[in-house]
Amino acid sequence: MTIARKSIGSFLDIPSFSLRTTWFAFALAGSIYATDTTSLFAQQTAAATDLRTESPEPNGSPPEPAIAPTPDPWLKATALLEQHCYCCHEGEQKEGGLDLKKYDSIERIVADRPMWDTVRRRVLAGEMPPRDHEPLPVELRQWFAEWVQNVFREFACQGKPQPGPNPLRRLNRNQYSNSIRDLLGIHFDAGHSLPIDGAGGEGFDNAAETLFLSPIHGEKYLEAAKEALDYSAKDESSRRLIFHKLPDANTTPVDAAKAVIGRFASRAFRRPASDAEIENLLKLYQTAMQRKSSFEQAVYYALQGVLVSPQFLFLVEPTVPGSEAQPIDPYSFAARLSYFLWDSIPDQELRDRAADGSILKEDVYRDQVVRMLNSPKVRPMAESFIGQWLGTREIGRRIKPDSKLFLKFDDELAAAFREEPVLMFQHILKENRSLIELIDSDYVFVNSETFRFYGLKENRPENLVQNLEKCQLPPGHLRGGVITMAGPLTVSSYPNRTSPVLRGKWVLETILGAAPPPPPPNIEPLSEKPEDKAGKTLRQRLELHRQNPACASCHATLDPIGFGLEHFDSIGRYRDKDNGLPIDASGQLTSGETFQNALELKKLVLQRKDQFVRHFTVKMLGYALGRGLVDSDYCIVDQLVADVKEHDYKIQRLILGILRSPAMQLRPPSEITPPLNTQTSNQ
Amino acid sequence: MNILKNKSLSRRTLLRGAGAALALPWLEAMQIRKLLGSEQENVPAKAPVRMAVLFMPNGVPPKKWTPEGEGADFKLSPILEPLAPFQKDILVLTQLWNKNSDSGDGHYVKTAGLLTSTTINKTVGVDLNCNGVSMDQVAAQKIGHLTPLPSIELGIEPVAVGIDGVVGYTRVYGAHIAWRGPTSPLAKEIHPRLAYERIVRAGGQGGDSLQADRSVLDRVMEDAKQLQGQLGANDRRRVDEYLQSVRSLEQRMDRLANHQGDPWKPRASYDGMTQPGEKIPDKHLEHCRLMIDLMVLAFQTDTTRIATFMFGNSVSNINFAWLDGVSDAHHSLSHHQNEEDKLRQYERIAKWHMEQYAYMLERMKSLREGEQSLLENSMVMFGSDLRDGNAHDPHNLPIVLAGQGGGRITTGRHLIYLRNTPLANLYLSMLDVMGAPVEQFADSKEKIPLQA
Repeated sequence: MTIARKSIGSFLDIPSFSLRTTWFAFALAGSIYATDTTSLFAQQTAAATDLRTESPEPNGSPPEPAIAPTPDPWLKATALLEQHCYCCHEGEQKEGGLDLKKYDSIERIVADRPMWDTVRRRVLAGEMPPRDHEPLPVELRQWFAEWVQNVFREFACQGKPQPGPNPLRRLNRNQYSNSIRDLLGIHFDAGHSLPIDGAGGEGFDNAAETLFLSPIHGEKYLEAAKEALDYSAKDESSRRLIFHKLPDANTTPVDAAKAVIGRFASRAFRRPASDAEIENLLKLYQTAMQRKSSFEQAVYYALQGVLVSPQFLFLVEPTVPGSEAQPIDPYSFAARLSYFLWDSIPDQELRDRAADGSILKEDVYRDQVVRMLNSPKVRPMAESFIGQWLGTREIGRRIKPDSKLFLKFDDELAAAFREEPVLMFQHILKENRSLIELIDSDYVFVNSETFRFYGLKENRPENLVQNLEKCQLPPGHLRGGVITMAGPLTVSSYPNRTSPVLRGKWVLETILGAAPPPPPPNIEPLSEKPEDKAGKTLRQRLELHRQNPACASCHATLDPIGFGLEHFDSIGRYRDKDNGLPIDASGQLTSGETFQNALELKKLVLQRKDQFVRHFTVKMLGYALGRGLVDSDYCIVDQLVADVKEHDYKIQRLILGILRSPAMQLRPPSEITPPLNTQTSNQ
Repeated sequence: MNILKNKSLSRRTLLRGAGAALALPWLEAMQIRKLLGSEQENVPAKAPVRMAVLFMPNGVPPKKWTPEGEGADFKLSPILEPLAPFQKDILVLTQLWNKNSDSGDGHYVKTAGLLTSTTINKTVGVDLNCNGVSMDQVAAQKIGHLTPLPSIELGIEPVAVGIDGVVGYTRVYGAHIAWRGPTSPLAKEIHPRLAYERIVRAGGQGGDSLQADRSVLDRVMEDAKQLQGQLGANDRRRVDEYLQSVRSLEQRMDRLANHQGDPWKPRASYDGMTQPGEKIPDKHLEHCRLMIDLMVLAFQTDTTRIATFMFGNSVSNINFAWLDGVSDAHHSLSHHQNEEDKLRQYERIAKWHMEQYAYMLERMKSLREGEQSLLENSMVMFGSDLRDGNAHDPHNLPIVLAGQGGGRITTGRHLIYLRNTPLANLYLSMLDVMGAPVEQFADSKEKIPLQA
């Protein structure tokens, strides 16, 4: 608590930050750093260890007395190291040149990040301690890994609030298409021929890190620009949108061209185009005029220059000189907001609010957020975010159930599976509902096919055909929320059977952000031999598999969750039997809690809703920033979670919190933007 | 020698080359125009060497891969059986391994490092780095300027969504075997129509539109250079990637405008071909064959001399249940646990890949270039990044090299090396054949003699 409050206090010392009062009030609203690892700082401060030279308190007031809660993480960690690691990694005979005992303070650990990343990874993976030594139970490995991570995160939260890195982002394929759609006012997927982008960071394809450029991109952008502009030239309303000025008695063609090109470039670049930029583009117009093009053709030719300019293709923000983070400018903020919620360029209203600078005021952007979330333009973001977070975007593409076993699974059903979470998310966004509904809702979105599929009889929406509609669930129904949705249940199955392991992993990884470490190498997977399968349910076979101690520790966390979902087949249909035997959907979590079926399992997940909200916040922040989170971002995450918890988990509160956070409001100095290749790896 | 006197390609030859098994609508309509008479004087006798790498994910059932016997006297294994008509045109290479991919996880490290022979960084994005350049791109950097496109990268599956949180790698790695630089994987084209358009556009554009594009690109270069001045080092690198992509396009336009490039004139042009359909074919077989056709097209028109193709991405779980005797998906079956039934299906899938490889060889062998066939002037490597999919082991990788590389490769042999011979040794030799020799490639020790 002490450190956190101090760090926020120092955040106030940035004089130019216009919204500091708001952020301050917001940040103090909840209990911050409730995690037990905080106390390691308290411990260190109290003990006044060697390397600490000054208190992080900026105004020199005495630190609050440190209370050491139990169990103390620092002591727990050193005890673990003592018991399992020092025997080899100490002093003269240190194995692999690694003397772990010399890291006797937080500062020393933090100063050697690459080494500790490796230590953390190898312990988590079970590579250390090595085979001939006493193994560490998986819970301890996970605890230790988290502890190391928290050491770095907590350390990063001291001192001034940090915006984190701000790597230059290229528009991804979706953003490119949406931007062209809005720029030209056409319904045409201009990005259809661009290479498909991979995902990085928090798992989204808008992450700057993985938006690389290949030689193929240059020509693809050129061709796509030509194609889109051709389309526009044939579309009356699109032409009217672009040519707001035409040559007439009072306007020379050059002046009209300048006006049209200037306005278009300013929209595309998400800030007013400079005179020099407009002059440059005008040269293209003039070149075309010399080749006897018509006025319109010549302007369109110049617009090609806009659409292939890096100023359009990259989300460029002005340079931040000096060595201090600076508040964001209104145009950059409008663009960030727009690419966060719409995955597209700012519209007229956002541009106006940027032009008068008011977009930086909280009441103004709060209204804009509400307006934006109510616009149909929010759909691409909803689709892209939820589809990638849950993995449902791949249904019907990479994820296809075995067509011989699931005759009913056709393209339409696949589309409905993909669509359901998108509509639910859009509904939550628009109506500012609680995030918790994603886990547990009393409604589903269905079409006539999935209405039947979910075994629903009551509350059938009127005229229900192919489009999905909201449908109220009867009390006690198993469905409601993403865990029992057909899409995620399909994503976490094999093409030909369910997998309690994959489903358990899906829930832990996707919902709770706590994936277990990967299986040890060369492990014998589950036997599919007919003689091993006969007369057993999948559950019974997995229980046998778990008798192998090497497998047991992880599977004890994974399998029970999956067992709870065994009433759903591999495309999410309800079933009573597996392999002719009745389903047993009961289970016990490693924490000791038991459940009888999916409904009770969901209740247990709900008891961990803060863990879910934290994970969801990490995802949302990663999407908003278009990059993977770094240590200092987790200070923001903690504050966001505390805040949204105090506000009934309302999603708009989370979105506003993200917009208010230092990561959005501040920009790091350009020259010291942390390089893309900082973390070391594989040694 | 005047190649015009030689038998030129007829549509019938081509169809025969396509194999009776599958007459593609696109291929059927394809016509190859004779070379323009006026340019014949400059045509050198020697056709250039072309190189393709075909990647198959998920490894092979190890006991069904290696041929019996050694040297010229060998008996094809069950998986290699589709190559029977080409036994004299192939080298089967046994006991090569890719040492630097023997860490990390079971798949991504192996796939992304297959042609780089390096260890990639473990990351979900921030420090994406393969720590090398792939073998095909080493060649492209040396000889790529001789053709409209330095290289083409084709595939079937789009980059999979998300990051693999469990093993801690971005799936971007698993979708790329071609790396122009440590941080620059090459995006691959998976849409046959788009790939076709790119090939044709690259080779055929000219006149006014070329000039017009050139002016637009000049603007881009100015913008980009101006932008570079405002950016920190890492952002500058991103913009530089864009600059390079634009520059390579400009260079291509210049070469076209000035009729530069290699004096060798290809036998075939793009005229009169029907383009592939608007949609990506639903059927995996048809999709793969179209992509193979496109590689052959790019080679025979000399649009490029270097191609890589991925039958699937790392951990590919393409469902092969449509294939006779198979009921499951590729990656699932590769975890066969030595069960007979799974091994049989796994083998069938590997053999299916070999059939597609054979299809490509058949096409290339049927296309004449002077006195040789296109296959004789090429080398086509087939390989997987794993030996046994159940063990994820990069020892003794399944590797075949087909084609005589313009007379630089003595084919028709099964070569068995000492265990742990670097795969990079083969790359060293292949780069030699391509006319792009290097002293050292990753962990290479010495060249593998390809000529008897």
